Amino acid sequence: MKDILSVKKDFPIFSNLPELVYLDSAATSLKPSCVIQKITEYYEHYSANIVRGAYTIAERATQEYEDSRTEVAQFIGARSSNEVVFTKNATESLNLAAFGLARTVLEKGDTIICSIEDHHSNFVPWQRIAKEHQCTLTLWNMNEEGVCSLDDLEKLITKKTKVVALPHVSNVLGHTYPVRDIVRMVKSIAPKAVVLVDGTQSVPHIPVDVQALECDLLAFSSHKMLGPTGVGVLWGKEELLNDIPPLLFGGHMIESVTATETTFKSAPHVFEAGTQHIAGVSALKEAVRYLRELGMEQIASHERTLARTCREALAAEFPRMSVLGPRDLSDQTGILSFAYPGLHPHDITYILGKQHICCRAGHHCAMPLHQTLNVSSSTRISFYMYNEPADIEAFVKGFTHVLHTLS
Amino acid sequence: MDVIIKKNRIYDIKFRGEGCVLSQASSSLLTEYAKGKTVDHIQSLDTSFMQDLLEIPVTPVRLKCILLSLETLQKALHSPSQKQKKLS
Repeated sequence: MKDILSVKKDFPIFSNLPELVYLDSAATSLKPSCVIQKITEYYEHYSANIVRGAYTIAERATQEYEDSRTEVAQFIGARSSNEVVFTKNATESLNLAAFGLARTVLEKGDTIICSIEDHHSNFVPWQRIAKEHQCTLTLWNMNEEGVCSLDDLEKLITKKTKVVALPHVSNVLGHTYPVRDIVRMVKSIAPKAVVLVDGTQSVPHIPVDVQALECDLLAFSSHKMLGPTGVGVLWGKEELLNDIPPLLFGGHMIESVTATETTFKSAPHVFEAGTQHIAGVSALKEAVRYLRELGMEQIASHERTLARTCREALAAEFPRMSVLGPRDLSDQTGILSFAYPGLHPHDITYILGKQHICCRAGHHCAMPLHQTLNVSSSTRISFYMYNEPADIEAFVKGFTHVLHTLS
Repeated sequence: MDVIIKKNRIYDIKFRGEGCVLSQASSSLLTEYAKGKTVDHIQSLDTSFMQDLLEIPVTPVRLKCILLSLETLQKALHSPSQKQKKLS
């Protein structure tokens, strides 16, 4: 297993920007050179379209593309690579799932349940679908402990519940949902309900096995797991995927087309109309291999340690700072968000940015959550394998300068 | 934004709000500027005006911070319920 403390040298951006303190991996991750080189390799050595050509470079392009599908499938414990669909990003994956389910499983009067912590991409589509299909969108709210509890979810589920949409890890508060327990409880009351999980902040950071989770659909992004932008994944149980209609129609996803009728391929290819980001998909397997070499348990443990150290440092140095989230920290990952009285996150992150410290300000695409927390916006710190304790020291020094400047 | 308009001019104007220093500073500068100006003139103001008013460079990401006050004021002046209130 690769040593996690030696990874920085694999990321060229640190050579180009030695002072960079990157604490925004929840927004997008930095890239190792093996991923960057793989993208260039496609364009320099086998820049052909996939499937369509019988010549050597087209065959290689097709092989590289489909090998990524197999690699991703194995990485998340899928039964078959037919269960892995490549999209543009997790938002497209979630929309594909949502609008597909809306056309197949939802009827007027049905209920959709979303967590208050859902990212807008796993909430706004459902809000729209509920209006268009005359369904009810029910919010699964936090309790006083700051947790969306199983007990509260149980009270919301009825025989009319057809979809439960939740994050695996909150992109603001960083804690993990017990997905398997949730799935089992949902299906014990509403056996036909579909559980759609947003794995954008889990797949890159903790071990994920879709068969162990027992969910029906899982969405995640390449660019948050060391891969390139422009690629996302929707994993789904094969029989469910073959029931969902695609969002895009046209080239590559058909079996035959006549003047009056078209027959379609099955999953996953039916969902990949047109030319995909071939270089990006091919490079994603390099990201997966890099993650495997480090080991997801090692990555998760590294981030947990950094987050714990960071919380302790913030509590000691900045007593007026409020770190948001549940009191129980047992299932925390490497994300934490905070508010500071009298200081706006825009100003905090601007002054931190001047010191080469990258943190995220705003509502992080989770406005309902911020409304519930009674906070207009927050500052978010997120760790990944290339972060180290020196980054926490840099943040403390940087934030001290923020206080000095703005007070 | 609270605005008193007399004969198509801004007679008095105050703002209430919370936000980053750029949004607060630009609100303060804009309300100072707006006093005595006509409604039509305020409606003609744009992004480059706000950038000049601040007198410091503002990055693309922070542009919306300085535009918040202008957009709010222009919406307030457009609002029919506000137009109906006239002071003698």
